[in-house]
Amino acid sequence: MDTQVKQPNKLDSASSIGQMMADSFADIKRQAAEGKKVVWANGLPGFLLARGADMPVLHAEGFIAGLAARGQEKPLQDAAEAFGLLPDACSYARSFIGLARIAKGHFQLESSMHESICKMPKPDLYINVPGGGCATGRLWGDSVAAICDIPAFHLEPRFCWDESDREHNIADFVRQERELIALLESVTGQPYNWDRLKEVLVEVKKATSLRQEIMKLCQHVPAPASFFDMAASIGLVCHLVGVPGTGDLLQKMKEEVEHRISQGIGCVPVEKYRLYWDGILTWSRLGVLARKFAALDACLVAGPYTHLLFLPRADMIDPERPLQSIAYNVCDTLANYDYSHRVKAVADFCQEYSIDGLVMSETQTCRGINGQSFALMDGVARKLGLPAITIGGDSCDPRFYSDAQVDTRLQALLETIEARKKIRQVQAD
Amino acid sequence: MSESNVSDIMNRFRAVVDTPYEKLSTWKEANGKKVVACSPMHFPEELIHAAGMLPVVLQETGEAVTAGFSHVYPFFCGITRNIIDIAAKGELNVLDGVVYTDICIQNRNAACTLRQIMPTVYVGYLQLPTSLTREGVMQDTIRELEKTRASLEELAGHKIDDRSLEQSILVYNKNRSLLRRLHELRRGSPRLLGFRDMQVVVKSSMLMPKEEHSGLIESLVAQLEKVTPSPLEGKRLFISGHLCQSPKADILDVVEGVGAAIVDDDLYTGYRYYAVDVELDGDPIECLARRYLNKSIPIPTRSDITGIRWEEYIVQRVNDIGAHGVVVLIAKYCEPHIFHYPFIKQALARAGIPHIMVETEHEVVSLEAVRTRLQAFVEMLG
Repeated sequence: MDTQVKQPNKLDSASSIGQMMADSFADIKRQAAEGKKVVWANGLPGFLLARGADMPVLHAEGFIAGLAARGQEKPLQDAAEAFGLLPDACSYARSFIGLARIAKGHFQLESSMHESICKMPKPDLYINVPGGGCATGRLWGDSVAAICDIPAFHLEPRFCWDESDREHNIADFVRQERELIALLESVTGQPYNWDRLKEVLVEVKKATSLRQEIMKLCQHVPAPASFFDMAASIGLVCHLVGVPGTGDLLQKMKEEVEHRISQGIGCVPVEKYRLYWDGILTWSRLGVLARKFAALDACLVAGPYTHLLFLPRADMIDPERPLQSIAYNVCDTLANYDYSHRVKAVADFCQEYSIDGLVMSETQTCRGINGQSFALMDGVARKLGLPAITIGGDSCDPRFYSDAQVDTRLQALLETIEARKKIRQVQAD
Repeated sequence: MSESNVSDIMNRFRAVVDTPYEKLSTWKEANGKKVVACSPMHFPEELIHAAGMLPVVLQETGEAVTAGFSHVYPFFCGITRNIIDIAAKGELNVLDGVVYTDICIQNRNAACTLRQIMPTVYVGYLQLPTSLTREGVMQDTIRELEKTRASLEELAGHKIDDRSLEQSILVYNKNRSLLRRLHELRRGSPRLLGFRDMQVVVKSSMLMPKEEHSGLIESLVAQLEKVTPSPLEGKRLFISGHLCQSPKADILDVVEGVGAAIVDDDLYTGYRYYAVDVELDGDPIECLARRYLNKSIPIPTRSDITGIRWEEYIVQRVNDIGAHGVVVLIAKYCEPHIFHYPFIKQALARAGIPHIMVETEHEVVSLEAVRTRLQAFVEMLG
């Protein structure tokens, strides 16, 4: 098989996202230089409450993922490990803690190039909004807050242990949001700007609705855009959430996707297999993986990280009810539910996207998002008979990735899918 | 000292600690009561006790993880992997219930997995607030404890009244007080009871009826108080870390076998377990809530900037006991500890307190390598 010929067909419209992200980071530096107080945040977009306080926000995962995708994360991780943080710790967290040490001047970077890439203004407030209530977010936020000597606020979505907890959990989250608003007022010394928040939510509603429409269009066979395209554009609903222009860019993406459908153009040259990705992306190998899948005639169509985690409830976004809108989008994510709910949701998802097999990402410094991987594989196999593999790697630490392992396991998955298709064919005949 | 009495008592404790889940099966048959396990660190066992059921704290066993790897990745902490493994093998089916608290994401995932693989056993989840500086934490804690009380009542088949809960609190306070007395005896004369044996005493408290355990401790303390303390030769060490799970006895033997004595600790299967009583001065649920929110012992499974930081606490304890150095034991993949360790390292360095960090694993790795490092560390203490 000629892996050099079959390349993924990336969305052209998504190419400007990188510049939007870079402009955003530069803007944070500019605003900090002008005396604006800065928020650092991690997790789900509950931090967009800071936009109502007119505070620039540096989103951890958005910043770190971009660096990792460009192979530029090492100085941050070196800074964290020099501090004594073990490499087993979540690499998102490790990188952001390293960034905090650099911002505080506790770790000297080796070059001016590193300075321009890896140095961001010290925060004045930390907001933790853990996906699925991941307690690691709290530890990470507290670490950054201790290093920078700033307050940390933990928005803690309650885990939906029983479905009957749901409405209480959302009400509880709204209560926490009100506390955060009070803290934002205290930090800025200004009354909270509710009108500004509503404006932000108008943009968020537009962007997330469009993104979900695009993702739904990818149920088409062949898929006009892939999971990799959605990953490359995830910044529009996390770090850049609510920023003017995100809706317009997503509109262009949707038009491009619709055009592809009308022309029968797929996101991979040959779409023989449609696959699902569970867990966090291996950011440092995004391009490598995209090419690998394309070369094997496999389209990685969708996965919860891009489709069901960041603002999955566009339908519940109402600019007139901002706190409830955010609460639904933080509490009602798949990661906040137990395995039985998740198995059903993922099985339905696989049917909607005509999935042939599951690729479960073993993000080796994350014990949150993949804690239910085996339950999911087992549950989906029982419901739909879909085969699954796990592949090792990590979100932002390339040391955990093994190319050979991915090749072997991916090949095995596709052979299994092929074999099962033949069996079904024989049974049908 | 009547050696046989101390020895007999310790053998009673060891019998409970070795193969704990098998022993529970025997106990259930003999006593006809339900057994409910709870995850380490925060669950108020008094609630289970007041329901007339036997509370036990989940313990890591020495088994290698096999079946568990069908349910959990290898990069999860040892106690998570082990508990899931023995659950998958059916060894926890002796339990009538398991209740978890929200201490870390691995614990939460373990709760979900147990609910999946033990469908006939009640698995509960107590979501205590973990960010203690937020408003309303007391009310949130009380609400969650009341919710858990109701669940346990359903499991027990009868109400847990306040009077029963108060009585259980008194039973537990007495046991904690006796453990503190033993702890103080050791601080004054560490060779009275090796640290490995102290761990056995504490762990057995987590696995047997408190009343019976307290009776045995009273006898043990009485015997040890008769012994004339001998001056300690060798270095005095403070041992820190190992939240949730007990360190392997082999590692503790190595520490105490290189010319040092562990004189004090902040382990969960150590001082942390019995340091703080429930102050029974009102509604018992409120009293349990106040114990959870007590900030005198910093707990890395919660966020609280108003209480003392863990690293400051360690420095204070080390200075109080006059320890020569600190052994920091980090259970591999334990995130609450991993994230705090850099601050501990920094604070110990600033205070001029030597320390060594040893990562421990569920599967005991080369003890010789650990021995060499610890030997060098103790020699370095001068």
